[in-house]
Amino acid sequence: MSGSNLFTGTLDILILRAVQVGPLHGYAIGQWIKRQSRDELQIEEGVLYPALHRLARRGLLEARWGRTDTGRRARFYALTPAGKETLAQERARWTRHVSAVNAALDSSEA
Amino acid sequence: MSAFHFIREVFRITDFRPDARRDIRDEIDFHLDMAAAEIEQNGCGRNQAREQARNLLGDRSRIESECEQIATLDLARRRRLNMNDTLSREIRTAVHSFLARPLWSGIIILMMALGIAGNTAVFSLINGLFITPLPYPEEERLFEINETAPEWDADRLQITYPDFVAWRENNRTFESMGVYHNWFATMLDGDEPSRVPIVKTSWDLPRTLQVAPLAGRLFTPGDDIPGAPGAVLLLEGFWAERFGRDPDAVGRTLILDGEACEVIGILPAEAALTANGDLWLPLRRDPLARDAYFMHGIGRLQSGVTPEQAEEDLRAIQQGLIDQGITYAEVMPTVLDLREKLFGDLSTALLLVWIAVGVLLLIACANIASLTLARAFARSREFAIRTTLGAGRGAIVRQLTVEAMILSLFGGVIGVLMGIAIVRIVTSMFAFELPGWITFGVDLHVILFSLLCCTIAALVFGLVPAVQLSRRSRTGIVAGDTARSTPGLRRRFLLKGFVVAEIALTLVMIITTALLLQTFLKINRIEPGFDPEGVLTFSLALPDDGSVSWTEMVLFFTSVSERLESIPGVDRAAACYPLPLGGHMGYFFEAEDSPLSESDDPPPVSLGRTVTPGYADALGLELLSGRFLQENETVFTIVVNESFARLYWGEEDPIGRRTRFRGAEWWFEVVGVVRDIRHYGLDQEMIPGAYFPLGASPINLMSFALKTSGDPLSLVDGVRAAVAEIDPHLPAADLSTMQEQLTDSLAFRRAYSILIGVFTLMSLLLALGGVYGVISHSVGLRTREIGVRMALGARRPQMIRMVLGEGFRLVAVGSLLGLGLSLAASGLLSGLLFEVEAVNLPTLIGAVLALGAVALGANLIPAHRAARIHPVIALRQE
Repeated sequence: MSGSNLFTGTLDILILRAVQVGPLHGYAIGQWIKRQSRDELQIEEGVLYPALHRLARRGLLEARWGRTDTGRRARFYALTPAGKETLAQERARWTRHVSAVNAALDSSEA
Repeated sequence: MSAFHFIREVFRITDFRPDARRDIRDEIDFHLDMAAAEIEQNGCGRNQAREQARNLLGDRSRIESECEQIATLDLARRRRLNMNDTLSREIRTAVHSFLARPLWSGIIILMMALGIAGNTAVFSLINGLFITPLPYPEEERLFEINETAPEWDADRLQITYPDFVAWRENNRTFESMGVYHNWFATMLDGDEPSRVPIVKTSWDLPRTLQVAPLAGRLFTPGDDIPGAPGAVLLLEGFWAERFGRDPDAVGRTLILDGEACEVIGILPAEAALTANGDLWLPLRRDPLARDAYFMHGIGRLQSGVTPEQAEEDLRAIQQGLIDQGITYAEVMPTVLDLREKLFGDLSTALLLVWIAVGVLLLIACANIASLTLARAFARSREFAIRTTLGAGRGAIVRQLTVEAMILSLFGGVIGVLMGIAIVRIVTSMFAFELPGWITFGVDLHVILFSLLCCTIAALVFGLVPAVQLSRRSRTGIVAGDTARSTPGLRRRFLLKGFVVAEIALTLVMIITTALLLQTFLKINRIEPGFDPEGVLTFSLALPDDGSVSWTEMVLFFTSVSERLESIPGVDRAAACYPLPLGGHMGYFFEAEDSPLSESDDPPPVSLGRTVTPGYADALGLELLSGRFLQENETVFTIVVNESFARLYWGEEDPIGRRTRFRGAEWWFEVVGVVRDIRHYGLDQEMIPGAYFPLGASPINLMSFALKTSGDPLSLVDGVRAAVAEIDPHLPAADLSTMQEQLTDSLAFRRAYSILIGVFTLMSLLLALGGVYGVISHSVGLRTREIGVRMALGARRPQMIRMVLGEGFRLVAVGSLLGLGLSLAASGLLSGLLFEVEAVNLPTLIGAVLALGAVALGANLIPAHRAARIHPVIALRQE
């Protein structure tokens, strides 16, 4: 999660944010990001699942098999304490980035 | 897919926990169910919904394998991963990615295999002939010795025996030297005569080559003096065939040309310098007798001596001979490369074929590079995401290079196998005669060369796209704009560059093939000047112990040709030496009342033929004036060809003029003029020549030509019977038809022309594939642009023109480049052409038009696809 690249880690933050309220399965995470971004951000499934596994490997998410409302077996992802901390840090960094870029864009100096 | 399945099993991750794999599969299954259910709610059929969900997911196996890898390796361990682990993971990723696209990978492997196959095949020919050391100890000290007489138009005159003897005695630069010539002998096996090819050699040739006898001994100086008892060395092949490798063969006696010759030793197969020569016999020539220039020479330099020093040494000796008036002042010894002597005839054609396969490989590489580049950009989102997830730029370059390496190795292995097969076919196609120890196996050199080709190819088609791509991925494209925007200028420039290069190279190949084809057609239309139809030939020689007189020869050969005419079906029979395509006999003539004979420069060598009177009828020579030789003619009459007449007497009538062998005391009277014939082959020069009666210069090796109105091969039994009737101990050798010999004389030309034609066709197909691929890729990327244009009112024909125009510009630039290349390369080709100019406008224009037409044809499909794009769909896409 290093680097100053604007987009680095964007998907990761969104995933962590999605499960902040409670454990979700992969499909629901994708749907959440899509809905919350007013369909602006389409997450490709081909990218989503590797990202989930990577976050789990890094100990930011915990994966556990559970049942959905309709009783189907599904894999749920929940935020770990480390994940919570990372989310907070990344969020702050994101806000700093955005406001820095905005300041630069809005600058009236020639 | 079972083969792929097997490979997949081999590459299966070893430390992978099975439950993790099942977890991932279940997770994706669940995802698909959920997605399908949602789509179904929007009013879609069940199956259709599942289908859509699958499409949305994309490449399932890639996602699963990626997740598996993540699940398998824990982070701490990943940091400690050494290069090897990274590499093996990259190889696995690469293999997974190929298996996901078997067609794409298959095409690349196939193109690579074609390129490597041609190169392996041609290189193993070159390796066998020019790189593998000759099988003699310290072969780098072996050189050809020859005599050269530029003023006689004879760069390689061959050696006369007395000159050789003088060099051998007086030189200070050679360790050893020997001369030899190929000949034949009649061998009697009980009562059964057969003709065997032999090598007549000075005693020291085996010693010069430093071949060790397998049994017995080599020649000594005492074996090689006139009158010495017959001694013969057997070549290994003959020994095995005839004596079953029996060591007791040494000491046995062979009856050769009526003389009992003792087998003194066995030579290894490597001793052979030519394809023929089963038996080696000493020359036993008188070193002082004046002799013709017909010996081949080989010398072994003393260590540290350069060929230039050796040549200087021999020339100093020769100058001494010239000063004493012993030899001609125009003739000088030269020291030349031995390999060039043995295989030099093949080198120009081989070089051309090598260039052709090199070009083929280049085109294959350009094709693969553009395919890889196009796909790499289609994958740029995947790579952008990897970058986002922490993969460095190096990692992505490495990944692409590994992928390229693996594909090219796969292709390379298949290519080498195909190459071995091609070599087999080619060597059976090329009927040229080479010593038996020449082999075209795949040895270390060939493997290294093929490996080098593969590596370079992989670097070209792996690294170029990789660098391009990683440069782009740094700018970040997570937002997924690849498919929406028209691709970057730089990358389209690169793709187009590949196409231009392919077109240019293919044009060079097409022009080359067209020129070779024209040459071939031209040669096939050439009138040989004689009528090969219905002519059977064979040769006959009297057993020669050195005592056969001219009179005996004349009487014998004349009676044979008379006897042959009595065979039913034979219209005419005649003896001659040499027959068309049957070799060369050079004579120097001088003519009375000719301006040429009075000038200081001696006239060029003429081809002399000694014939019996039926010859003109048997071969169908065309008489231009006067008459041909007749029965019972004196030996003082001669018939000349038109070149001869023009050379000596210009436009004046040669009939009744006189000519003679240079320095002879008696004259021939010219009684007739015949048209020139293509004596040395349809594609060879015609030189001044003359026909004189058998009695004027008999040779104890006469060929016979029999003319029939039917199938010449039906005469074979009659010929054998007639010869046996005259002398049961004489073999009628080399029985074949004139037509056959004419066809065989073009075999080598036909072989390399076909080879280059095949490689050209392959290049053309690959290049067309490349043009098609790049243009359709470009149309695919511009779908949106085309949609916008059509929405703004552009019409279909305009769109077709736009796409075709893009293709046309590429073809035009490529063709210009190709024309330039062909002009630059025309010098190399001109040596192989015959009566066709290497630079001729109709061929160049024709080739450009032909290539342009098919290349634009390859554009039509994508152009029509572009025209069918519906603006609404195009704009909604992605």
